[in-house]
Amino acid sequence: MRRFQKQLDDFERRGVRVVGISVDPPEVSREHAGKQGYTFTLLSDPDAEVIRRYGVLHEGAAPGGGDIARPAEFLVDAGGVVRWVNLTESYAVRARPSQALEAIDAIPGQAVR
Amino acid sequence: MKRGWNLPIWIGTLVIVVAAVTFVPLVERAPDLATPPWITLAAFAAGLALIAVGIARAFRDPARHRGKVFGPILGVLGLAMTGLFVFGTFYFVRQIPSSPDAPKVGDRAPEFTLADQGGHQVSLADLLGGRDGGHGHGAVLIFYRGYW
Repeated sequence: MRRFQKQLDDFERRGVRVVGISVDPPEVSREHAGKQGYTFTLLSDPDAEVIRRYGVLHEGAAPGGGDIARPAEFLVDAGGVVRWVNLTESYAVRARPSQALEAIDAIPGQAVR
Repeated sequence: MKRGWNLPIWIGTLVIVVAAVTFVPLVERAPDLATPPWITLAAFAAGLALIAVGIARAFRDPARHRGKVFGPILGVLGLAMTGLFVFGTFYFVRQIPSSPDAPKVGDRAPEFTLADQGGHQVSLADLLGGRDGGHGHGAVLIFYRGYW
C-alpha cells in the first residue's frame, strides 16, 4: 500500500479512488494510517463479511486464529464492473500501482485529458 | 606444533551471517522477486561449503587444524539458518489461499457499505460516484491482512 500512496496523485488525476479494506477496527486503521502516512481511505470489515463476499478470505490466518483478508487488489470501473484483478501467490510479490494505472487507461472512454 | 584456527569455518560462518543480514536491504531495493536474490542463495551455499571444508580438515588432521568441536557446532547453526531462510522465502511466503471465488474481470463488483477510519459509512457506490457527488471514474480496492 506504500506504493499506492506514493502514486496516489496518478489515481486522483484519473478520478479513481484508492481504498484499503481489512478486518482492522477504525481506530487501528486510523493509527496505522497516521504512522504510515496513508491519506487514502481505509475501510473496516471486522466480521470479514465483505472480504468473504469478494472471495479473498484467509481463514484462521490472524495470530489468534481469526479470519482475515489475503492480499488482493481489484479495479472497479464507474459502472461497478471489475476491470483488473491481482491475486498474488507470494507475499514477496505485490501489486504495482503501474499495473492498475494501465488497466484504468485501457478502459474505453476513460482516457480523459 | 601450534594448531591453526581453521579459518574456512569462521569465514564460512561470517559469509552466512552477512548473507542473512544483507537480505532485507537487498529485497527492499529490488522488491517483487518470486524467489530470493541469487546472490543471497549463493552466499549461503558458499558459507556452508567453506564450513564443510574446515570441518573435513579438522577431522583429517586435528594436529594442525582446530575445529573438531566448534566446527560441527557452527556447521549445524549455519545449516539451521540456511534451512530457515529457504523455508521462509520459498514456502512460507507462498501460504496464501488461491481464492477461486474472487470476482473476475468483467464481473460485477459486490456492493458493500463499511466504516472508514473516521467511523463514517462508505459504500462502493459512494466510491465509484466520486467524492462529494463529483463524477468518479472507479476505485481500486486493496484488501490487506491488517494489523488487528
